[in-house]
Amino acid sequence: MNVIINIFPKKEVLSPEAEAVKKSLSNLGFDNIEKLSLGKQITMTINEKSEKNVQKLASQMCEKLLVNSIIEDYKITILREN
Amino acid sequence: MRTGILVFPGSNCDRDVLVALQISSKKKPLRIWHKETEIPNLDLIVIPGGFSFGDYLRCGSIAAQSPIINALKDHSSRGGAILGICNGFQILIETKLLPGALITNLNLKFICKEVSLITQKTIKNPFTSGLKPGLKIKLPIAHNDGNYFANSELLNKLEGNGQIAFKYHQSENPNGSKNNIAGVLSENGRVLGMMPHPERSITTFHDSKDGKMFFDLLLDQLLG
Repeated sequence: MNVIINIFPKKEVLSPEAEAVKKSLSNLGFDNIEKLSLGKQITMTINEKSEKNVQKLASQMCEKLLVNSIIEDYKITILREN
Repeated sequence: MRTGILVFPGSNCDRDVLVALQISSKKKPLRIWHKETEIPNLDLIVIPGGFSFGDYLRCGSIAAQSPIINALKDHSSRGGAILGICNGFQILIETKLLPGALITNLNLKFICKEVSLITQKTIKNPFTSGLKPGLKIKLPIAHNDGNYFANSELLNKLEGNGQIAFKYHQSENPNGSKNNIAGVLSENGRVLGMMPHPERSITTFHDSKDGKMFFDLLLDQLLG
C-alpha cells in the first residue's frame, strides 16, 4: 500500500526557509502571498494490505523518527491501490 | 577520572575533544563507536560535533537511533554526566535527553565565528558551577542549525528552573535562538548541550583559551 507523509512546521515555529521562499516569490512579483509553509514529503510503499495496519505503522514511524513533535506536525495519507 | 567520546559516522570534532579532555584530565579518553551497546562506568561522556549520518532528515535524528543511545540513556539514568557539543547537542535534543529543538539559523547561513557567551545562574551542575554567573567568555561556533526553539511555556520553565547554562551576548545572537540560548541543562543538571565549541579554544594558537578553562573546571567539579 502506498503512503504519503507530509511533515510541516508548527504554526508557532518561524521557518527561516519558508520566509526566504516567500520573500523570493515576492521579489518575482507574487506579492499577495499571505502565508507560506515549507515542509517535507515522504512517500513509501508498505508491504501490508490492511489500511488500519498501514496507518498504525506510518504513525509509529512518525513518532519514532520522521517527525520532531516539538517543531513539526504531520499528516498521513494512504492511497488505495487501483 | 574516566571520560569517553561517542563517535558516529560523520563526527568530526572527536579528535579535538580527545585532545582537550586529555590535556585537562591527564588521561586518554575512551573512543566509543556508535554501534557499541555498552558503555563502561565513566565520569563523563562527550558527544562531539560534526554531521552525523549527513544530518539527513533532521540534524542528529538518525544518530539518536544508534545502538549506543540505549547505553547512553542508562549512563544518564545513573546520574552520569553528558556533554553534547554542536551536533552532539542536536543528538541530545533528538534523544529527548534535553528539551526543545534546534532549527535552521535565522539568516539561513552556516555561521563560523567567535562569539561572546554569558554564563547564567543555574541549578547545581558540574559544567558551569565553577564559573561565576554573568561571566563573559569567548568560544567559537560553527553551525547551520543552532537556532534554539522552545515554546513560551517551556522557555519559562527552563528560565525558572535555572536550566539555561549559556546565553549569547544579547547584542550578538548569531542564529535567532529564543532568549539568546546557547546551552541548555537537563532538569537534574547532569546533561549539558551547547552549540559553541570549547574544544576549539584550548591552546595559545586558538584565539581564546576559555574552552580549556571550561574543561578544567568541569573535570574539577566531577572529581568533587
